Amino acid sequence: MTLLDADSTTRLVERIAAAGVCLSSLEWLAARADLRDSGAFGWKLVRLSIPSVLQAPYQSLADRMFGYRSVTMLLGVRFLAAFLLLAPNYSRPLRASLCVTLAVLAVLGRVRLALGMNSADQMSLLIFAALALGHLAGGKAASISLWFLAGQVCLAYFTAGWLKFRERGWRNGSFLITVLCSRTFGARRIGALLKSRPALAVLPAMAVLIAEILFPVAVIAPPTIMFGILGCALLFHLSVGALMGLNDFTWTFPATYPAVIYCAACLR
Amino acid sequence: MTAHNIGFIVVCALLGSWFVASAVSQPGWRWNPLRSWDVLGLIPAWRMFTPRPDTEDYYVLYRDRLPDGCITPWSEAYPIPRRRWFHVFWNPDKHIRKLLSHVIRGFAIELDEAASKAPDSKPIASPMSGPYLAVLYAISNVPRLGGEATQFLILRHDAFAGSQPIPLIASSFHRL
Repeated sequence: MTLLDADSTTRLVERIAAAGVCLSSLEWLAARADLRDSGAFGWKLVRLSIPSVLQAPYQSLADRMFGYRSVTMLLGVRFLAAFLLLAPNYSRPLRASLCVTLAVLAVLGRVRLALGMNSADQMSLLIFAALALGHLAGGKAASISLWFLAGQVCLAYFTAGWLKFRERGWRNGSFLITVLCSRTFGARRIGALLKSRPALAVLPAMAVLIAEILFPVAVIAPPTIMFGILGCALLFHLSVGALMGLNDFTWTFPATYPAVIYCAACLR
Repeated sequence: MTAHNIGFIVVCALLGSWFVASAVSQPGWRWNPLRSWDVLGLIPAWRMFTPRPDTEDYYVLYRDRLPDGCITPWSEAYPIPRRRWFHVFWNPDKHIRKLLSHVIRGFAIELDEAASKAPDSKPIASPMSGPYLAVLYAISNVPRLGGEATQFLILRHDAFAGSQPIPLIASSFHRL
């Protein structure tokens, strides 16, 4: 018996992820001056950093597709597609087409806006690509999409946790303090507090590190432990959003948690 | 075999391969043959602040040369906003901060490489390099009252060490 069936879980994943995409699109549109040709994300400049294999044969198409007007329009379409996905009870073909649209736009975004993107955008791409494939194939394929997403989120946390574990600065909390002391990605009051009492940083740093490494256990753990791990992970992303300003993680990573719950229930 | 079965097998094959490709391409693996083929960025790299997070602040300053030859005082472009509680919901500045952080770290690497090749001479960033042009474009886009040319200065600051910001690079004047 499963806590949720594959279709309900898929709907939950796509709605949470779509809410994140709505917010992300609006944030890009709010800062659209930077997308102008004269701006830091201007196409003339971004074009220089694009792999040459994508440039030569498609140059004129790319120029048309990624200029200021087109890219703001694509962001508008991205917002609209994600907004429509929030509404309840669409038919599978419509949800499939919206997921395909968002997956394609996520790939285009990886090319056009790469320097402003992070792991949350990577996860968003995986979510909509996997859901789109699941919708298009129909039947039991939705379940495979959920297993894929649960696998990716476990891989993401485990890799990040393992890479942190190998660095002494993460283990003793000093990296946490230096990040929080910075203005760019920090919260200076908390950074100053931890700087004056470095021992206080060891516990949260180790907690993050261990929780990330142990995250895959959620798939095989009893429900109480699984919900405990997911709750800690959600709290971590809320803290990262509030303290570091990286708010897109708050949506895209938790969007995959229903897939973890589904897979854990399937294994029980 | 029905269409659903074929679809199921195709999805299993695609997502299964994608997952295996992701698993063997994570940072930290020495053997990573797929990354160079991934021009669209489909294979994720789950770094998330590893191995070392960004701990330095970078400040981009600019000044303009006016048509009468006067030079304006230094102003800060894209000042780092104070962290606010609502950034958990709304933070459109994060993209430009990430870009600047990325390109300025590119600058630092470029200058370090130049310094290691010619230890006796003062390292100079190439005005045609990606990081240089990115900063130049960024400051050219800042709203201003006038000016026929602009110059930028990048300061790096280690807030944890509590030291004074130190100049990383000062550009020449470039026509606006």
